[in-house]
Amino acid sequence: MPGAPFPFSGEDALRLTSFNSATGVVLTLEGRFENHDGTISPFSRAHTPNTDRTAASVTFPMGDGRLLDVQLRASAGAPRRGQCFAIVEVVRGLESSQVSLGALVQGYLTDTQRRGWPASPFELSTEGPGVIRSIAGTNPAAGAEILETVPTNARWRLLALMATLVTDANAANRDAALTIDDGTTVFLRAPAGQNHIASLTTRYVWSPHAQRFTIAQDRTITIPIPDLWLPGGFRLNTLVTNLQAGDDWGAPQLLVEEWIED
Amino acid sequence: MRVECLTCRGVYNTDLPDGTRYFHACPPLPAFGGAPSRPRPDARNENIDRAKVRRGDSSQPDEDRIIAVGRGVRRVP
Repeated sequence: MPGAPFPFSGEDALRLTSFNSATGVVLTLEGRFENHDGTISPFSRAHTPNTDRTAASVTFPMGDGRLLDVQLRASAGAPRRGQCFAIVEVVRGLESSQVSLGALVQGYLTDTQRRGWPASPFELSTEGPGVIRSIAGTNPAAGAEILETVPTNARWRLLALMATLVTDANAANRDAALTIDDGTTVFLRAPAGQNHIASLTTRYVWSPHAQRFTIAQDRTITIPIPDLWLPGGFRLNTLVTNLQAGDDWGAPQLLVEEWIED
Repeated sequence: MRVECLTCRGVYNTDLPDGTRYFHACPPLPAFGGAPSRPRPDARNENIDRAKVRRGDSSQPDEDRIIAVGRGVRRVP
């Protein structure tokens, strides 16, 4: 029955797997274990996740007895919801020959919220709210476009992308657009639809919450895009018609909601 | 750390203020005069290639895990 002590043979162990994007995080797995002779032993094990959202796992041998309860918390660092996802399983065997026998804990951890067995519900990494991130992208060289990628094992909901284009003195009517592709093939192009002439600085804002609008006083153009969820490897790319070699994009600033997605 | 990509000359911070890492990828070659843009030779892409990740090996250098190293980076002020 759910919540009953989980019997362990001497071959069984606890495996903790984490997916994390925040720096300085240490996870601590704690609980109580009833040994074969009836004594109860508390345990505490530490684990340092990777910071690139790839899986990091560690196995803790438990011995012969029954697991009474277990909790998992971020004992160092300050991950926010959407940044540190963890799974605790009962496994048999070691290394590559491990067989998963049952999952105990699955969900996001923060520095103030913990998960435990037998209490916490299982959670998918893409359900519920993610972490809101403001990201400064690459400042491209003059004459180059902006390119930003959704990191491996992340899912982004794009809330806004703002970037400033400074044009050189060459006479040409530029038209800036944002394209989004799946890593290879473009599926969305959102042009500003306004001529950007020589020697002019204009700020472009693409957002699902924007209307097409031009603010003359500070040369800002807002351009609507669909509300999109983008998996790892998808790319955000500017494309300026009639771009000149001296035209210069500044570093884009992105606002995204992010989840772990392995 | 602020670096310059030696392939595309883009400049970026490797660590962001929110405590996360930034993963740079070079843009395609610019398309002047109406020519279509082309992939950049030697493009750097710092996103993790899952096929290259050695699970459980915390000593694996980042450069061994990314999609493409390109011409590398240099630190800038």
